[in-house]
Amino acid sequence: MDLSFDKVSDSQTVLHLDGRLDIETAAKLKAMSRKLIDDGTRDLIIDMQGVSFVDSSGLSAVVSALKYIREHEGKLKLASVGDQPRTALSLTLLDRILDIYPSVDEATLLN
Amino acid sequence: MRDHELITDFLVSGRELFDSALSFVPLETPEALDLEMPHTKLVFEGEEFGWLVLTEEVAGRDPYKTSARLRWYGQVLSKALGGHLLAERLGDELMISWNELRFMYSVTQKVAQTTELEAIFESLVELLRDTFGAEAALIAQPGGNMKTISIGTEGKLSDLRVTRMVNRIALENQTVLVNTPEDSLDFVPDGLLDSMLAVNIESQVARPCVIAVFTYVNSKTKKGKRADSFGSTHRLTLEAISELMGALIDNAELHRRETRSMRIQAQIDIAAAIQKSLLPAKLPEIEGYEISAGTKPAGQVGGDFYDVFEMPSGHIGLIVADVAGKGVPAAMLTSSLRIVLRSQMEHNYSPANILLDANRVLYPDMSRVDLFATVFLAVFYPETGQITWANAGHSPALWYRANTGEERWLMGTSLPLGIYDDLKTDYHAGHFGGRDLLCIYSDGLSEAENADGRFFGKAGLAETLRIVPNTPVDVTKQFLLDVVNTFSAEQRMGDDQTLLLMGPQRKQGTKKYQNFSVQAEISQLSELRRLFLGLVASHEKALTNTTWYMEAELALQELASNIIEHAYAYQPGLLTGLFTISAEALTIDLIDAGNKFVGNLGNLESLEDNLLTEGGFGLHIITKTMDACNVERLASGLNHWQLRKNLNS
Repeated sequence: MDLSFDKVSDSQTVLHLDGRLDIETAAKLKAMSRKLIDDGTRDLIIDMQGVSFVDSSGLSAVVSALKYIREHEGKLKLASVGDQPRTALSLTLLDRILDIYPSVDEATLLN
Repeated sequence: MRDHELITDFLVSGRELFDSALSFVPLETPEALDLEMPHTKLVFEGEEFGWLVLTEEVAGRDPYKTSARLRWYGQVLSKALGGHLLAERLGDELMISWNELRFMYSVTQKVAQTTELEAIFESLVELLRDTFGAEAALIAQPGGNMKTISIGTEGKLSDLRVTRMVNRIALENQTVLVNTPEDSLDFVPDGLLDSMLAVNIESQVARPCVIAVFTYVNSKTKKGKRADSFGSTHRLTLEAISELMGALIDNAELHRRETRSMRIQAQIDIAAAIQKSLLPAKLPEIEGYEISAGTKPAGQVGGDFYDVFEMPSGHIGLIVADVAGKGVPAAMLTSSLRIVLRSQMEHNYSPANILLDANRVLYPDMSRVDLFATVFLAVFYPETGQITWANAGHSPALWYRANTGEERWLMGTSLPLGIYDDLKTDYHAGHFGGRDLLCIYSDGLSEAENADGRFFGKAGLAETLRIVPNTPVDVTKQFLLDVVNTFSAEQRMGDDQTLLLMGPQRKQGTKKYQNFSVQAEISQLSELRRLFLGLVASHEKALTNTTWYMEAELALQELASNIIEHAYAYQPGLLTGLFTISAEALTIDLIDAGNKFVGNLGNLESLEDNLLTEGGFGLHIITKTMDACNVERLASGLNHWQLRKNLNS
């Protein structure tokens, strides 16, 4: 899985994921999201457009990011979530507590 | 003719000629020459060797004439005597050269005959002693592992003295030439030696060696043609020989090393080729039944084989045999055993008689090489379903009888072949049903050992077959081999594993199978996924609906990563199993050799309570996505997970 990010503003960052978010790659997301939050991001948008597969380890990394940004009084949003990741989120009921947006644009603009 | 006889003849004849006595003064004693008397120098080919002298003064003799005559006579004597002396000296040199040549020739011959250094040395010491006219000779490796090889030391020098002498010579690191008992004290105490010549042999690959030839004080042994002591000619010869021997030792040592590894490899290659040629290229096709067989050698060469063939009578012969022992002899015997059994079965279809006859034919050979063989032999008649079998000391075969559910073990009916010349065996008979399964195997399977030293056992075999009761025998065979491998993954495979299965022919229906066995590592999950998707993607339902296999893929991923993380705790192991897909259902059977699962599969619904625990989703996902999820601890200590997803809804 590849990661890249766009700084929209000092506090808003879009993190783009590309590939499988699973037990092999989840640690990358966890580390990267922490770093961004430590550097001042308080509105983190995870762009799931390129994510074909998420497993429980991937979900754990998302939850970890969520907990960390909440400690810093920030917000985590998911955008462009595909079929398989949506299934995984709904199976674990995580879709009920995560803010999920149809697109990065909407996630960026709406609060 | 000896020199002095020749000279005497000349002097006597000269007396007539000169009317005076003559004498010969050798070069070594010039003081004996009276310069006042007429004399002439004796020279042959520029080399002086003495004088001819008139010893009586004769009056009235013309001194000039006398002198000229003496010169002429001296020349004649020189020609005769000088030629003779030279010939003799040359003869000595020739003799040494000849000895040296003969020695080297002998050495070469010895080396050609054997590559064992010790054997070469044993021949060499004898040659050394004889060539140098010595009483004793030795070759030794100071401080090395090679034992000292000597001749002529028995009763003269103790082993300890020999060792000290050799070490002392090695210290000199150059040629040692000793020609008096006093000088020899440095090497052997008590003045035991009269003379000694010793050299150090340099070798590029072996440890340096010492060669020594010597004679004892007061010895009555004839010293051959050599002078009283060893001289420079001997020294040069021995030094030349030591160089040659250094090369010979190098060659022999390299040759030994090379042929040793070549011989071992050749043995393995031959045996492996024999082994391979023994297995039937194609198994016979039988209406209503399927046979699958395979063998996995423990090393490069095994002693197992199987055979399945149609007998002239229409019966099917089924054999699994295990020859005790490895390497070429075992492979040869395996080959003979197969041929003998096959030829017996040309005209004989009583398993007991076949084994009796085979034992009778092979017993003499087998007892001679201390080999024996266990054989399970069945004769099946497809037309009636009748099966007969005999078991010569082989692992009991398993007969699963579908109509009663009975698992019957077909125990030994006699000792293995090759133990006694008259084997006593009987045979058993039964009716093999259309849905029955016969599993003949070698003890490499049942005695596969895990890290705890536990055997897979007959029970392990039976319970593994119970997991896959209705699969085609090819799939069953692979599953069983993979499970045994998973059981003993960390152990070196101790023995060949051979498996022969006969079961019902499965219709080429909608059921499809995929065996798998991958390392329990996160990086191997993609391989597992590849095999899974390869199977489900071909399913008709995959074309219209992707949700079910997306969910199943997720469940598989969760299960496999849970096993890697928790059951194996990232220790090495295997994930083995079978994917089965039919119109009705998808089943995942997964076997691991990790720790026992201690969770509770039924209590994963109330996730909301601890939603933010960052974990524990995995098993929840499995139970949510699959219609059934079971885990059992097998008697062998393996875990068996079974996930099922119904495809009807």
